Amino acid sequence: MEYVIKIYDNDGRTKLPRAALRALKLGKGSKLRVIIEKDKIVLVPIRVKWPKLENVDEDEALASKHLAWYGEI
Amino acid sequence: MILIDTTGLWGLVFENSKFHKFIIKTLSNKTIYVLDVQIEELFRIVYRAFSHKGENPTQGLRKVLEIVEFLEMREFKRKGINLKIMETTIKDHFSAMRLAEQENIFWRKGPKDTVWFEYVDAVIALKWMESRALLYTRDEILIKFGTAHNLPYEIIKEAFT
Repeated sequence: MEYVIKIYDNDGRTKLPRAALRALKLGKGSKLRVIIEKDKIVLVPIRVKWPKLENVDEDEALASKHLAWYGEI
Repeated sequence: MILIDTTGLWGLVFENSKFHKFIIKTLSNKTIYVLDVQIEELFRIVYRAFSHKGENPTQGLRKVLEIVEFLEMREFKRKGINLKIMETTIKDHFSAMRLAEQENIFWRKGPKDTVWFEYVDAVIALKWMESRALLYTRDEILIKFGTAHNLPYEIIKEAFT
């Protein structure tokens, strides 16, 4: 997919094509990271989820928090 | 002013932590502060735990970066938490070391009869004493320090009741 968009159009907006938003499942309030790469601007969707513990034992992790500063014995 | 210790920060960050519900229900719609050194401590604890003590560095770093993104995007605001990071100065760190020497309580036992200095606890104690803020904690060293200096604290509970 490739599109041409205008920065600050006649209404003063910079709009992304609807097809691009649909393809990447973006909507109102979605956040994009703007990366400048030499002569390119790359827009990357940010999909942040609340972190999960997975299979980590939090009691063990917190009880030995001081050891995280000093390395393993 | 409200401070939370590193266990509180852990409980805020991990949605399925046993401290999460308590932190959210108790502290939503309030402004809470953590020190910059606590963010570093959280990254170290997360890396150690998720990398299985360094055996799987990729997994450890991936989780730390997930938390970086979470904090950077301020996702906790969705649950009404207004988290602010308090920057410490080199003077704070010097003072924390002097405080630790005076108090002689910032020690924790490690494996094989080793004893380790709880540096971050000393910095938290210093900023707590200066601000006289309400501290949410379940750290026995900080509770001992707060009791000795008549500082306000609340225990972080495992589940909100």
